[in-house]
Amino acid sequence: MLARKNISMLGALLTCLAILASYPAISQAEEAKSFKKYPAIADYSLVAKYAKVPKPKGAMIIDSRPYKPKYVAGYIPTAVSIPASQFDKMTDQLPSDKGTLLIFYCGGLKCPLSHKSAFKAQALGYTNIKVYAKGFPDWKKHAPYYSVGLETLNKMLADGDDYMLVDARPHKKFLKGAIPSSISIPDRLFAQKRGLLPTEKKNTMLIYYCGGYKCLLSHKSAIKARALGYRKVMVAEAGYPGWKEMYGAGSGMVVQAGEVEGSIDVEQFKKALSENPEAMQVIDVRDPAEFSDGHLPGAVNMTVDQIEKNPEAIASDKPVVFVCSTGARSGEAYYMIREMRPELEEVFYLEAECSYNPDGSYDIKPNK
Amino acid sequence: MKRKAIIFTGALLLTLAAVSMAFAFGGGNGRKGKFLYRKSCRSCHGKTASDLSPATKTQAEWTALFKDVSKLPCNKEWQGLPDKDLNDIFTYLHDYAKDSPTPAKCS
Ligand code: HEC
Repeated sequence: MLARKNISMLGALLTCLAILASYPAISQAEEAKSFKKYPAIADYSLVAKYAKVPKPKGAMIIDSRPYKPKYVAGYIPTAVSIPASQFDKMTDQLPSDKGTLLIFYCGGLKCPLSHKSAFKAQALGYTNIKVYAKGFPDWKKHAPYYSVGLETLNKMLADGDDYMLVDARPHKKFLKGAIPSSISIPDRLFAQKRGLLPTEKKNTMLIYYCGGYKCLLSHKSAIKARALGYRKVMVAEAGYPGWKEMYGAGSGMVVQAGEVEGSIDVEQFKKALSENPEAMQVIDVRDPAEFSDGHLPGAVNMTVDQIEKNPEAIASDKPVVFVCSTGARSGEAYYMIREMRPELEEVFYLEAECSYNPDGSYDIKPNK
Repeated sequence: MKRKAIIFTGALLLTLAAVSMAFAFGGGNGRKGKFLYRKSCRSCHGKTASDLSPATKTQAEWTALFKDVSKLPCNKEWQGLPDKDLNDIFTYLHDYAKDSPTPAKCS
């Protein structure tokens, strides 16, 4: 995280230097003026009226920033990605009714992309165009949550970032297949299952998803989570249908049992971790504080107490492997889930001495 | 194979001894014991009864306490517990005792 921030700061610095070097005479104020602004401006409250599911009719919100890395990293709910650089090629994405309200936005007051696209849409004959000039930074400041692309989620999963991914669909759907590393908190049971959410509200990233772009549940849960005080709430709008299309469903991994009852073969586990971590569901049963100091890529954090209260939160579409630091708590979780969820066949625990580092590296030694 | 042999010898010894205390403790599954202890014993211990964890006592103390479980003050609370489960619980308590290489609390 820190490293990435540094790099982007360095990038920003270099860009500034480059600009200074090439236009030494233009001050920053002049630069901001240097693009033509579209006259009709939308503010947050107007955008918020349309950035909702189900999508209000007669409007389209358009993100003019590049698809990668900007749009996938975070966008206004329901917004369509039409990068300004691709506008001419992507006009078929615009609604056929020229009277539709089009709201363009990009990266804030200094960003010309939304204005540029608005003028182009005007030239195409659209009659009701607005630019949300304060753009995404303003949205992030005021809105209860924003949306993220599955690409971002997939990267966070691979990097072992700290986040909590929640499937807001009914539990039955979750059992049939879910995005790796997610837990099930159906929107309907939000209040009842509040205890499953992490206690840390300021920095925890909470990401909700459900059955795709038309599904309301993740949006509803996101709003409730924000009301509980969580500060970083997101929705992966493409949901499970989108995930299945992009990254495929379940794994077909056949787990080799280890020597000890209920354990997974440690070598196979290590191999799967480095080659195909999505093939299994790793549940780390240590305390949240231990977990946030370092954990395996794609692991979900659920303590034995939490599992005992909510054994249904574990999906059954791939092999489940419980891990902790010695095998004691994970073994306990294994025997508990055998009893509470006897229908789950592919459940294992890691009988090994494990240490986890903040950078995502780890060391796993089988117990003798 | 080995396990069977032990059980068999155990059974034989028991039959020979024909004593009232019915089980020789040790060598159970401590991992499962941790769960069983949570399930059958933590409902009281740590709440209404003493906060017993493996590290509360030494291995010798656990062995002594389990020598005759019918003398434990709460024995009638878990009369239905199979000997195998109780042995797993004993193994957990004993193997993570205060003087074991890895003393454990219950959490
Ligand atoms: C219904 C409540 C209850 C349950 C369930 C229960 N106990 Fe107890 N246990 C007690 C009480 C009360 C005492 C005596 C006072 C004390 O230690 O708190 C006691 C005492 C003991 C002692 C003696 C403690 C000492 O320091 O000498 C042991 C050992 C013990 N229990 C083991 C167990 C085990 C093993 C289980 C599970 C198989 C279990 N208990 C389940 C209530 C319970």
